[in-house]
Amino acid sequence: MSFLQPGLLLALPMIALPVIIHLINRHRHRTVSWAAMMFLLDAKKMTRGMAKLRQWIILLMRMLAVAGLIFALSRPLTGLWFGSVAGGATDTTIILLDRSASMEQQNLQTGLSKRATALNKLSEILEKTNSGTRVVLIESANLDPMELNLKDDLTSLPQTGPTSTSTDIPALLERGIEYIEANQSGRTDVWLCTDMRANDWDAVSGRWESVRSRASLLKGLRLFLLSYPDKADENLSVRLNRVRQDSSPTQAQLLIDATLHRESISMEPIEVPIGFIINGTRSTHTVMMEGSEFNLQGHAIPIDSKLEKGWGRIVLPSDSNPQDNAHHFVFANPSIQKTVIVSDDPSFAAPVSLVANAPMDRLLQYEVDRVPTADANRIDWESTAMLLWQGVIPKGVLAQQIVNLVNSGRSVIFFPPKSPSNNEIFGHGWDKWSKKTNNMEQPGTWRTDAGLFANTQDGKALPVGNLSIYRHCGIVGTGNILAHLESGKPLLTQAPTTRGGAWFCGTLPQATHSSLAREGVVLYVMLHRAIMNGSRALGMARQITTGKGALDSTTGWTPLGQEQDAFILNREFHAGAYRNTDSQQLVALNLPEGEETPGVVVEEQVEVLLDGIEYQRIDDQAGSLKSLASEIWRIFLLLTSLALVIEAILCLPEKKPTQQILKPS
Amino acid sequence: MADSRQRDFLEPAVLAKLLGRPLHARVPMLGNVSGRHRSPIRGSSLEFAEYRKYVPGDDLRRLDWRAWGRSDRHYIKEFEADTNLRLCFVIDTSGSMNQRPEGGLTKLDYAQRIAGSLAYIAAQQGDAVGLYCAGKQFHKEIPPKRSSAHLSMVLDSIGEMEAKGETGLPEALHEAAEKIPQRALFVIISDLFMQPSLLKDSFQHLRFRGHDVAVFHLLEDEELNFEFKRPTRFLDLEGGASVLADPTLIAPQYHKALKKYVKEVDEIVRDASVDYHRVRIQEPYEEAVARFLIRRTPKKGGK
Repeated sequence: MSFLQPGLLLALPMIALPVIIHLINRHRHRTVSWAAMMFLLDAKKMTRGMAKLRQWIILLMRMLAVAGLIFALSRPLTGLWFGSVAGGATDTTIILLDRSASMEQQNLQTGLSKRATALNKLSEILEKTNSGTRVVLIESANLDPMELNLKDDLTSLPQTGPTSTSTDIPALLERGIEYIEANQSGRTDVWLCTDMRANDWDAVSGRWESVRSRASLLKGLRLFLLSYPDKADENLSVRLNRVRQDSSPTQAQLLIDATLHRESISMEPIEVPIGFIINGTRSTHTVMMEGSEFNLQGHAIPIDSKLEKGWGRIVLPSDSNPQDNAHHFVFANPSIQKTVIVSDDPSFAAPVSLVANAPMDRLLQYEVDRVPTADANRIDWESTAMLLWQGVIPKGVLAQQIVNLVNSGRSVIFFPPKSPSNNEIFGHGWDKWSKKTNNMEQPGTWRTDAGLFANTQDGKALPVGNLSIYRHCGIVGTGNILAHLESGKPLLTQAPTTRGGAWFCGTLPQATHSSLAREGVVLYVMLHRAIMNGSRALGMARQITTGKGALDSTTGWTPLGQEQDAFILNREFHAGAYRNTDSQQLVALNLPEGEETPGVVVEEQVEVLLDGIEYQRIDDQAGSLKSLASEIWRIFLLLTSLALVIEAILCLPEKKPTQQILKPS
Repeated sequence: MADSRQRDFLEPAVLAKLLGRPLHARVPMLGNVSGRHRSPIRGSSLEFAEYRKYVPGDDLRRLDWRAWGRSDRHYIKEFEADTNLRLCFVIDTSGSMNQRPEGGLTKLDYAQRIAGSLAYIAAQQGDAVGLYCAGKQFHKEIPPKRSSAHLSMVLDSIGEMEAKGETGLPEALHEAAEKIPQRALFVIISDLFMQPSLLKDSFQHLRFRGHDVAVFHLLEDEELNFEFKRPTRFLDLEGGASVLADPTLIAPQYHKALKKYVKEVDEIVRDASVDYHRVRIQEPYEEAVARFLIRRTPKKGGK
């Protein structure tokens, strides 16, 4: 139990007051001379049973009345999680808000989303416990701490509104910890409001170790996990995999590949009318969906053959989560899928050039430019979708140009040079080459859910395990390891970047180092995925995911097919199709991949992830109107009254038999 | 001055009022001189008692000639004999008789006043008056006699009484029952704070000896109501151990014990045909005495 006026609990020893008064009364007795001792002695004998018990009950009732009064004045709250007596008052309350799209899952009866429910409850509890507490909001989209005025309505702040982003829970916690460390915030309550999506929690991330170790060092930190893990009764989400413009002199059409995900209790087959809106024109295609996933392949929608570019979206009927019912896209004549290979080693450049030039999509043009390391300064950075760098990691201007390339959404894959240097880029560098031996090694584990080695769309794994690695160069850095060798050494690592992609491959494709070129498939998929990733940032139409920095500039974007909305500053967090008024470039912003996956982290996983951190989990439900903490002083007042009534009844004098006694028989 | 101080329990005004109401015995008395009480022996008073058949040897002067004339049968007409009574006061002089209500008389003071008044009335009627003080520490016996000097001695003794120690009432009653051979009126004035079974034996003993027994049971309001607001140490007036008690806690049980005691006393006095008067010492004693005298007055036409 917690109290709004815990200071008044110092008066709790007053509970003993009735006993003290009783003892004082006994001590300060009067003395009288008495004749009728025989009745007195008889009465004392009889008093040993129920009467004594009654007296004790009277005392107990008096104590209860005092206790009830003190508790009532202390304004108790239900719930065990806020400002408990032992913990005392809180200096700072930090709200870590998961604003991911999945938090918009609604309770269809109340119309409240998980996010809105959490905010309502936090608002209420902050209103009740606003005595001198600093409230700081860190929301998942911006990750910037923002001090709140207690008078602010949490639900009406633009920083707490819905977004089409996903959440990086470890990063959110790290930001909270950084804030506490930087501000010495004293006793701090951290409220993490999340729907526990496995995609957001990223349980395999190496950052959890850092979170645990840093948080366990913080004194006075209490973490409250306000979780909304309940799944939707019925929710459909859609993701566009690919949109292609297939033009011929006679007809033009858009070919759309999309995937529908279904989250449901029953899993009965259902008909889903899928709406396609192309430049404002709507068409519907109904499909029968069985199971939790449906792939729509090559759905053709005729378009004007003269149309060079346009926008559109796939929409599903409304359900419990409106955020994942639409996927926006833009299309334009595709840009050239240009790969620049920087290497002084022809044995490296030749196979990768071949692979990069082999068209994966017959509608696209592929181009490869081979550049020696000495001529790297002549690279046309603007038209490059992917850079393959096999050489000493550059420094200075060249390094900055590569960073800019990646930050603009393009891809770069670094391959180890013959003689690695100590240079680093994206926090990564090269260690030493392994010695030449006849022994080969194979990849042990690799990530199949995301990254360059992810499974194919039909769920089949790439034959990464069949690769043979003869020579391996160590990768220095703490990025996301996508593949390990059997010895545990990283084979492919992705460096953390805000946009684009930077990978480090610990071997070379030529036969002296690995079977990458010989077996081809893995190298082909790997390179073309990187090209596809990089080419999204090229051309007049770009498909990008929402998130901080998704758009090059925050202004100059006009929504397409939508009303002008109020999210001017945070457009990058909201799905939609936009046109840049200056460059006329089209951009489609959509949910990050994985956000529609309904899996949640289970309790055991959470315990492991937060091991060593004092936390309390409060499971709630979207739309729940049950308060996290409600004042219950009335109950205590009622108890006080009840105790006083019982005490009064027990103290009622019995009828005096005097008059009756005086009548002689 | 010494006399007046010792007899301040006698109030002339009260006595003047009470003298108008004679003291009657409820049973025939066996006095040794003529008086105003019925005697079991037939005598020559004006009060007709009964007819009985003539037996040889009866005095022919007592033959009812008119009855013989009407019925041709011989009847002797008998008349009541009037005699005096022996009035014995048995006053409890135990320490408990020192119980005094706030600003009032002690039970012993009250008893002195009742006894003094009745003794005076009885002496004025020509009855013999005696006194027994029933206390283990203060014990006194004055056999009943009817001289004025004896009355003076009795009154002096009443004035000198002190309440202390334990009660010796049952023993005193047994002793008196044995020592007074002829019928007498025993007026017992006490708070009767003892086991009722002890009283029962004493009363039965007195009744067995043919005595008329009257009891003034003196009680005080505090003893009846037991209205104390805070814990109190009760000091035993008869010298026993003191008791510390919370009256609010034990009051119900106290009343229960008191009620049980009163019920037992009522049964005992009823069984023993005792003329029982329960008296609150807060009420004026002359009212208690007057009530006592009135209740003993024979009803009109009764015997």
